[in-house]
Amino acid sequence: MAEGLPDYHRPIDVAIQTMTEIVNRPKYGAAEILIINSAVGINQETWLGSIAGKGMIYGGWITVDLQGSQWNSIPILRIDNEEVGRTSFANLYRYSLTKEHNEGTYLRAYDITNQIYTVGISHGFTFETQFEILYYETHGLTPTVYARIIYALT
Amino acid sequence: MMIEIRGLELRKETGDIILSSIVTVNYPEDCEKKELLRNKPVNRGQILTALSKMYEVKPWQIVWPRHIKVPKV
Repeated sequence: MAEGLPDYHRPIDVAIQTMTEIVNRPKYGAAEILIINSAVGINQETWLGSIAGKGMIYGGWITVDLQGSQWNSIPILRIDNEEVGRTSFANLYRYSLTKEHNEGTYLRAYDITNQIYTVGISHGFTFETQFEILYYETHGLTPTVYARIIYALT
Repeated sequence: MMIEIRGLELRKETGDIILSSIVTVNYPEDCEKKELLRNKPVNRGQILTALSKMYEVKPWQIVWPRHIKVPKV
């Protein structure tokens, strides 16, 4: 019966530095893009898209296109059933949550004159089972939500 | 040939519900993503059948890791 390590494994001795450098990093597959383009329901939470798997979010954005106001609506990022981003455009603006990692989503555009509202998706969130994009509409309208999320799977 | 599911993507686009699979064909080749189901029921059976047809393999040749759950609308 065979014993010991497979031929392609070699032990290293950290104390006497038999290797000049050891690289230890998680290994991900190629970048993938989740693209969403969908109308949402009036005054309700609408599921828009999800990825099942294990991996990491590189970044992305969610925006809404409508000739009408959406300042109090809520773009939602849910990772492994935990809502890591669930703050309205108005509160992101009010509390100046405009940088990555303040939340899962952070404010990029808040233009109540031209009705442009956009959030970015923070880089680096890992997921073990899934992540989802949802939108809670609060103005009694039916906007179209666009999103583009860049991710990779292990 | 072995197919390993790395992820399942479910999304809405202009009124359609689209399921795409991200799979590795014969590890360690790269992942590939393809649309699998459009406006059809999303469940394990449908996914295995669609993958089986797409890659011309038997369902038992598809590896489905435990951490991958069927996405729900």
